[in-house]
This record gives sequence, C-alpha cells and structure tokens, in this order.
Amino acid sequence: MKAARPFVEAVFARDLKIAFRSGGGWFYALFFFVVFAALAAIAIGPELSALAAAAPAILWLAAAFALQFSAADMFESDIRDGTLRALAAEQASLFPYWLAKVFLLAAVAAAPIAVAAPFVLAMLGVAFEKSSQAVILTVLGFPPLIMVAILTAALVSGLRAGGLLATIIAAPFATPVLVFGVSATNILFSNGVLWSSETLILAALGLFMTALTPAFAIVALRLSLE
Amino acid sequence: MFSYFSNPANFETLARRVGPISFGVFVIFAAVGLLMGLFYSPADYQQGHSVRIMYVHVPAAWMALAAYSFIAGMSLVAFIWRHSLADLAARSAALPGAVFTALALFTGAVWGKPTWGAWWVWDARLTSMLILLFIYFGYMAVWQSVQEPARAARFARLLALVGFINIPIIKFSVDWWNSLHQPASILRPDGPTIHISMLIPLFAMLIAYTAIFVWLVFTGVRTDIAEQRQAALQRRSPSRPVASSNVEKEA
Repeated sequence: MKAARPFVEAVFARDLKIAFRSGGGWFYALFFFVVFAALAAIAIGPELSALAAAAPAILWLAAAFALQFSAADMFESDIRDGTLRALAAEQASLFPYWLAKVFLLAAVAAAPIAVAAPFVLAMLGVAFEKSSQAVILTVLGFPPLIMVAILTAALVSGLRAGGLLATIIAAPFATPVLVFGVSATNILFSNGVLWSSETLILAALGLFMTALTPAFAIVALRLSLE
Repeated sequence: MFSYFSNPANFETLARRVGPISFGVFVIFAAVGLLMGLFYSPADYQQGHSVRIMYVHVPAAWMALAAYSFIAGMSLVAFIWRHSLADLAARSAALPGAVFTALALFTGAVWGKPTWGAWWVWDARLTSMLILLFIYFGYMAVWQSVQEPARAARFARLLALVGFINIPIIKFSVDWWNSLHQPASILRPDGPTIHISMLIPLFAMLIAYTAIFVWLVFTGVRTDIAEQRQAALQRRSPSRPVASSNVEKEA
C-alpha cells in the first residue's frame, strides 16, 4: 500500500487539476445541491415551519443526487482516451486508482456540499446552531453515498445507458443512507441529540459500503475495458 | 454435475423432462390450492372473505424473494465456475421474479384497501418490496443496455451479487423506518398461528408458484439456447441467397 501512495497522489492531483480547469466544473455538484434545495423550497412554499420540517429530507435528497450525478461521468474520459487501459495493464491492482477517485469525489463534490449545508439549512428555517452540527452528520453520511456513486458509475461505464441507469441502480443502495441520514437529522433538529443510534448506524453504513463496494467497482472497471 | 449441464445438449434433455413435469405440478397444485382457498377454507373472523387474497399474495411475495436469491446464486455460479448456462438461468429468472414482485404489490394493494382502508401505505414490507422491484428493474436494464449477451452477463452478475449482499441492510433500514404490516405468522419458532385449513391451500399455492417459476426458467434458458444457435447458423450462412440458386429457381 505504501508503494501505491505516490500513484494515488498523482492521479488525485491530475484529476483535481482537470476539475479546476475551465470547463472542469468542480462547482457543479455544489450548484446542483443549492439549486435542488431552492427548487424544493419553491415547491413546498415560503412557510418556514413547513420548510424546517422538510429540511432533513431536502438536505439528504439533494446531497444524494448531487454526489450521484457528479460521479456519473467520472470514468468516461479515462476509458475513452485509453488511460484506464494503460493503468490496468501497468498496475497490479486498480485499488489505488479507485481510492484516488474516492478522494476526488470527496474533495470536489462532498466537501463543498458539507460546507454549504448549514447555510442552506438556515435558509430552510433551521436554527444555525443546529444546522452547523448537521455538518457532522454529512461527514458520516457522505462516504456511503460516495461509495455507491462510484460503484454504480463503474458498473455503467462499460454500458451504453449512462447516468440515468446509474441512478436507478444506485437507488436501492442509497435507501439505507437516506433512511438513517434523515432520521438522524430529524432527531438532531427536534431533540438536539447528535449521537443518536441513527447517527451511529449512519457511520456503520459508511464502513459497510467501504468494505463491500471497492472489489465490485474495480471488477466492473476491468470489465468495461474488455 | 455443474459441468455436465453446461453442455446445452445435456441441459436440453433435462429441460425436456423437467419442463412438462413442473408445468403439470403447477396446474394440479394451482387448481387444488385455488379451489380449497376460494371455496373450502374458512373466512377470517376479522377480515372476512378478503383474507382469501392471501393465497395469491403470500406465495407471490415468497417467490419474489426466492427468485432474486436464485438470480444471485446463479450469478455466483457464473462468476466462480464460468458456467455457460448460469447467466442464462439468472436472466430467465429476472422477468418472472419482477412479475412476482409486482403481483405481490398489486395483491397487497387490493388486500390493503379493505383491511387498512388504503390502497397503498408506506409500511415497511410494502416499501421493501417496492425497492426489490427497483432492484429487478436495474438488473434487467443492465441486460438490456449491452448488445452482446456475454458482455452484458458480466455486468449483470456483478450487480446481482452486490445487490444481494445489500438486501438485508435495506430490509433492516426500512423496518426501522416504519412498520405496520402484521408480523410473519407462518415461519415462527412456536409453530404457525394460522389454522391448518388455511395452511394447506397456502402451501399448495406456494408449490404451484414454485412450479411455474421452474417451468418459466427452463423455458427461458431453452429459448436463449435456441436463439444463440439460430444466430450462429445465420452467421455461417450467407446473408443473401447466392446468385446461382436464384438462377436455378428461375430455370
């Protein structure tokens, strides 16, 4: 693993450079998150009490879709220009490559959303001292969403169907995260309890997905090269 | 045994025997189960005659889960042993499984209206069955989205396996989320809580559902093998009739 570290850093640095280049669109995930939350607020109506009741659901739905969509074309360019084929031939394992992509999605999509979450929640009528604590929940809940997004993106990378199919496939995997993310957030907002059992299960989901998905995602990536 | 049935000819002989037998079992047990269930079993003292929906609802729900387990098992066999027919069997089970799931949801809605007073409630079991239906849709969509079946099979295998591991987590989380459905009343350590006169038609229907599933899977695999053979024959023969044969016809 130690030998893989420069490789992970190199791929991560390259992808980060691409993301920050014009047209790379590192801010798309954040924009999508804010736009989704604003549209939800417009759909629900300006009543702050109704918005505050719906806020946990809006937060997790917006974040899940934002992460899912920003992972959708994650492997496209590497497959198209042959980079992934070269890496697969040269590296003993694609695990470091997968790891670099996880870091990339965390840095480019998850981190900006987590930072923006308290402000969006405050706009939805949640008191700021509570919404700032919700950042901890997003830090626990985003890893499983990232894992699922990368797994499904890898699965559809060799198919013609693309992003929508990835979202449909991801829905069953994202369900537990939505259930426990929203209920943990609800408990935080209504009772002020941050470390509820729902929060702990949310953290456990992250560990479970981290254990489960890499092998499948890497096999799917290798299949897409065949 | 695995390698014996990876020869399509050996499978064909097996399918020729098992197919009609399972279809016969289906007809007999469905007739017995429906007759007993609809006419010779008591109505529930609370639910009245609507309890008879149970005889089509419960086996459908069981088979929906069994079919997905079968898909996952076949995907594992295909993944480990590269068995040539396991992928076809998994694919053939997908549509019946999805139909069983939809049937369980539909009969559940019909049953829920008189019992709970609503066609659809977001109770834990209904919701997890709905998610199972989405899992089936995703699995079938992966098969659809690739042209070459051999390539599609590899992606479908992966999805079936990782999805199967995830099912207990989904079940657990949806149970946590909400629960209203009555608890399981047949598989309990202290014995079933429903009367034997209802249990017999229920098991007859379960056997009937299993038999039609077996028949559908065998028929599906046979159809796939026949299609592959036809495609192979077409590749070998020229795409257009050879000029000389036309001349012969005219002459």
